Amino acid sequence: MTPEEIDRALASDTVRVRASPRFAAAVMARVRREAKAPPPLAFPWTRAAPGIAAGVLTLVLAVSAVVSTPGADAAARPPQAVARAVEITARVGDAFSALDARWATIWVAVAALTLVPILAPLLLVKPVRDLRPVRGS
Amino acid sequence: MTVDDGAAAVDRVLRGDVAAFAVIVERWQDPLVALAYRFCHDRSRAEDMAQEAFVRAFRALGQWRREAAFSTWLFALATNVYRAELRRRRAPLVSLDDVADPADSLDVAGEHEDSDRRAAVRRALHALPARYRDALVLFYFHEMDVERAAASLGVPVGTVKSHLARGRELLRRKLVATLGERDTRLEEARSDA
Repeated sequence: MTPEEIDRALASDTVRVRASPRFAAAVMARVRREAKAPPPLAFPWTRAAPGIAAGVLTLVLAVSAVVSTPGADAAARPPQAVARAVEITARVGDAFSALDARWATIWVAVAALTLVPILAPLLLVKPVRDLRPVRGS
Repeated sequence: MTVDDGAAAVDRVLRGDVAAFAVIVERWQDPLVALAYRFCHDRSRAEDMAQEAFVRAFRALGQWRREAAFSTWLFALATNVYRAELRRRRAPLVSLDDVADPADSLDVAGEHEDSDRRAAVRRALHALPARYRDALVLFYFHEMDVERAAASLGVPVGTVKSHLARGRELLRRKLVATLGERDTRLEEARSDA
């Protein structure tokens, strides 16, 4: 088969397909629904900006703290940073262990209260009934 | 509809006159359905795909940069929708090697020879890799206008030309094998009769 024959065969693929009479109405019905639908929610950049800025600042400070460790040569920096993190964690643990029983009870109660805003809405929600039509008689 | 008419309807829609979009639909429904049909060869599915293209066009109407004609923008958008749809819900395509020999279903008199030949070409076309198939589909849909095909595909003219050349070569090789065998068998059948 020559290229010219292929050209002719492909060019002659002229099945004149036309839209059905109801096509335009169907498209317009869908377009009207689209127009009535609320626009998609935009990302709240204004509200998120302080959080993003704080995150970036924290990251920059953390990196600068690691990089500017005094007296540390390049190879020793990561282990020293890890050691510092371990030290801070240990201090926090010591601080908690130093609390007396009364403070410990208060902290446990506060932790338990944080579950309230999560569980309360779940208790208020009613289970959705099955609304499917009953088939058959 | 001229380019200005298209722009006028678009302006009205962008000002909130949703009904003005009907002008665009009326004008372009047949070409968009026909293009969809060239991709999927299923009338019902072609209308679904064209409807999706119109809805996407409605949503994206504000993104039409008026440097190009409205039709160029609309065809490029529709082509993207159709190609994505084919990728998402790929019709069961046959391998080029599995393209049926038309002689198997052809009556011996060869009355339907031309239509079978076209059907064989179409089947082989749709078994091509997507980049070659799309270039060929758009090229012949746009009445062999490479620049319009390139605009619809959103690729340089040179890319379309190379895809056309490669696609035609793949088609030719396969059709020589399948139709060549068929023609030989037809000749044999005729001589036996």
